[in-house]
Amino acid sequence: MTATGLDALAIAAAVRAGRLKAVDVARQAIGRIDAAGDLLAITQRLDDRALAEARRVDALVAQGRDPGPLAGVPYAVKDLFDVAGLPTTAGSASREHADVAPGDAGAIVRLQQAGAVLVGTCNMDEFAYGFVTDNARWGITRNPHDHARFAGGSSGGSAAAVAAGLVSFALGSDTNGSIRIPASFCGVYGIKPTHGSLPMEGVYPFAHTLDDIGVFARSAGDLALVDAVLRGSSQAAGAPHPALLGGWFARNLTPAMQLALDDFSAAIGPLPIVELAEVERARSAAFVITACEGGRLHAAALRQVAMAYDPATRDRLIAGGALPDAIYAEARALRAVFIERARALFDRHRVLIAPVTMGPAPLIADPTVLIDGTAKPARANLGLFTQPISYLGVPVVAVPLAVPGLPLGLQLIGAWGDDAAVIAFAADLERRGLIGARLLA
Amino acid sequence: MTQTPAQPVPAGLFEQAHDLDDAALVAALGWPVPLPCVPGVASNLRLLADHIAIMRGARR
Repeated sequence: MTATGLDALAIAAAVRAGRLKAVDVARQAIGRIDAAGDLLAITQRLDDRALAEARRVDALVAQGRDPGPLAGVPYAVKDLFDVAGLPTTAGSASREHADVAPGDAGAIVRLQQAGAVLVGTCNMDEFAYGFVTDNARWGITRNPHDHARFAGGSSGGSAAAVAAGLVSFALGSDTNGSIRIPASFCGVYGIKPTHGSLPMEGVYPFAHTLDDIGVFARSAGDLALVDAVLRGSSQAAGAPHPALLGGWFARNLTPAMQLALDDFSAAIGPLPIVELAEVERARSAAFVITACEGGRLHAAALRQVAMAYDPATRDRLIAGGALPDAIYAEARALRAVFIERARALFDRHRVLIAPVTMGPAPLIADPTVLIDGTAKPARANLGLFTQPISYLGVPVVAVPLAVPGLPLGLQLIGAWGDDAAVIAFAADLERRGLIGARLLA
Repeated sequence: MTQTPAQPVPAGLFEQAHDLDDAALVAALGWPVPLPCVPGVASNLRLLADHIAIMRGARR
């Protein structure tokens, strides 16, 4: 029996029942990574560790003990999670000689306890500052569905690894869209949970008031399972009462995204269209907060080793580090106003729906997006629809639309703490055939 | 080689970002930014200035 093509739920069930050996599942994942060519999703292989973890799972099964709900399921993590014995580079050549991590990140510990098998680390934009996964140290992660296009970022390696079937699920981080954008471009599921609700120990920070870790998965069921393991509990879900976000989120759409959204709206039935007030100001405030927190985090290092940084990241961080306290405080203060206005919407609608991006993944040869008719750099501007949602700190699941052509994604946005409602809504849409992952294996 | 500033970051730097040339703008940061970084840093300072203006209510 092969694990290729199975989701995490099916692999774990087969391993726990003794129909699959975890070691064989790990070897198959290693083989798929060997065959991945120039995808550049995985940056560091952990073959020995993976096989050792898999043997432990098989030993538990042989002893009649429960190896956990993710028994033998292969996964990978973005290069900013601590992995015992490796330096946590956060995708930067400037940290290749940093001290090795003394232990695993908290999220990895929980996954290991649940029986999951870590096979590698994933490419990313340096220090998570970008939306394309174009890394000066490792190179560009290719979109599995069209190697001439970006996978999205900053967690692009994680998304590509899942879409290409190298692993069953992957972990990433999302500050302004860094899970949702690559999930959308690669045709898989991705979640940014309620801010602060998943373990951040051992995760290299970027902008601490916006950072969260989250999961990439090949089905809504897998997303729910891994999220529950990370959270340590399952949550109850209720009726979604969805609405479509208009205004800001209906502008600048490519024809393909507009058509996909129209088809989705027609299929799901009449949806109320609502507006989130002050979105443009919120997006800019999130941009300022990110630049300031990221810039201050790296200010001391940049004064010492600026030229060891990726040029595309370095110049943004230096500029952000110059933001004065007063402007940072302004950006933080606006958040309370924006949250109050959003709260009024969530009183009426448990799930808000919006596109993840304006259109499909940009071409690597033309790294721009059209905003109000002007071509802007994709690296900094793909977060037009994701950044304002990050600013709220609410849970969001990026789901892959069931459309022909290049993958496109929607954001399903819930109220604070209502992660289960958006995951359950995603599962419902998947059952109805309106969404579904686009996988190579 | 570096672009060595003569003074700390002045108040209102971001409000003046579009009025200064790259060298003057980056020099105002108050630390020795490597010369190859100057155009990129200046461009990002102006981008931040645009976002600050939008955050304060200016229309795009």
